[in-house]
Amino acid sequence: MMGSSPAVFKFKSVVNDHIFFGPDNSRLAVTQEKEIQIYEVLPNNNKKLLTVLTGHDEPITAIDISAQGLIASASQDRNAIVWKPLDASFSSFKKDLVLLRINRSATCVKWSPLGNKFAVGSGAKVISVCYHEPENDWWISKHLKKPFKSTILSVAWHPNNVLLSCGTADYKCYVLSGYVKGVDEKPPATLWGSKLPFNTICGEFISSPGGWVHDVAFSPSGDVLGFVSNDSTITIVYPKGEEQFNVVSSKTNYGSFKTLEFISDNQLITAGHNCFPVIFQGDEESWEEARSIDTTATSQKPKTFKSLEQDDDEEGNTGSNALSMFRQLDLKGKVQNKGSSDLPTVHQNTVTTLKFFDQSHISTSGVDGKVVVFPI
Amino acid sequence: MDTDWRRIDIDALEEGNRLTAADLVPPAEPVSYEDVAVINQQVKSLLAKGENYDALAYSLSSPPYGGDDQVKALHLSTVFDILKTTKTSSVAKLVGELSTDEQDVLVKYLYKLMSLPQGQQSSGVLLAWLDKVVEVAGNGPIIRYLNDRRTV
Repeated sequence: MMGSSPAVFKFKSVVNDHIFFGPDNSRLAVTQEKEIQIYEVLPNNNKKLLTVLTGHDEPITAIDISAQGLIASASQDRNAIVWKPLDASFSSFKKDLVLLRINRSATCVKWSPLGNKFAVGSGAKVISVCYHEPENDWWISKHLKKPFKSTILSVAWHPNNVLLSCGTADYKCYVLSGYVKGVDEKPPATLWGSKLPFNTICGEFISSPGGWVHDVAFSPSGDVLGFVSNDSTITIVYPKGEEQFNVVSSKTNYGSFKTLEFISDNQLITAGHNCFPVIFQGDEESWEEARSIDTTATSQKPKTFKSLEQDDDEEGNTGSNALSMFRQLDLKGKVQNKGSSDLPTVHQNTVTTLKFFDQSHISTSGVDGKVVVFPI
Repeated sequence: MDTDWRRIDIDALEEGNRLTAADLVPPAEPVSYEDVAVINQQVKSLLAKGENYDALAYSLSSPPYGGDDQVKALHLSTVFDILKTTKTSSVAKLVGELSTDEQDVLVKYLYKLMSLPQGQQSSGVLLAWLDKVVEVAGNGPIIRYLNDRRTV
């Protein structure tokens, strides 16, 4: 459905999170303040509003969809809600409140690969691992408490459905077990560990300069972990078994990254304050920038840092821009806007979320209120 | 009611597990005064021979994160000597040859010196160095300086 050029969808306010789902990814859910809007994606990047999901009292921080098509949302109102579609056209949903038992804002939510549980990170220094209890037909949670001392900013599941990783505001990234008795099968041993009762800590990692860990991700095989932190550094962890790890980091000259996903064990894609997605590749020796995905960013100005500098120059010229604006007003009675303050990228502000759309596309959303589908 | 609820320390109501400033600083090897004094001597002899790049790379490759104030002050003056004695024309080349880690440490020393009276007297030199670092290495070292809790 998506072509070879970026498809852009614009929204009224900041898009904290978004998901594409449904047949051919023809439905789009975006967070707009306290509500989730569900759209049908039409040809030529048009969209039609199907329904609006209301139920949260404070801004929604994250949404995710399970393999079975259930949508989970997390909000600053300290609640999570599971939305179950009631018809095939996704125009009405059943709402289930989740018992998170937290006293601070929920910051992130991720379904496990099998879709039988999800993890919600929060400012209450816990991760709530939530699962459905058929007896009472409700969603309840177990708390991962140790060893957090600060807000959980991101969570990611290992493909084995048991291990999960999280990034925190105390500069650390952890790998721990989210095994729930009665819900999970005993997982086979991985390089991260073999005995995995609930809340087993399999690893603790930092980026050497340090900074809030904004996002974490496992590679598709689960044998590589990556995280991005506020020091504009990407850190890759290779477990070697028996609690030994090989850690590789790549310091970059971009603004800090906010989100990342692995394409393979040797390639990842990341984006953030630089406003466009970049592919990094590497191995246990080193990781380097491979290329940018946003071709408009690279075709005009090959080096980001240089382009940022030029933008600064343009800003420095705003004095004369204002002068020319008034001169035009005086002479012609109207202003011809050159749009010189626009960034050369598709996104005009920080990219906060990056997800796979299909095998060859990713979708991103950000502070500029845009959802963009990029071909990789 | 005169209860100023905004000033209630709500974290005190919860048990333990509180984040302290020390939790954010990665552990560092202790560094003794003798260690940095040796570096100081070697840097002096390198400078006398005019090998400024070797002196700079040598001093920046082992920042004394684990040292006390005295140790850090001595190493600071070691680095400052190199910065002052390097010709302005060769700064860009020198910075370009440093590794990313060394560039990050250099920026730490530049900001540290800018905060001290001794550095402020030669602020022109420091600004010239910072200018070249940003030109060569971009904004990355500055972002990392703002985040890094390991001080020099």
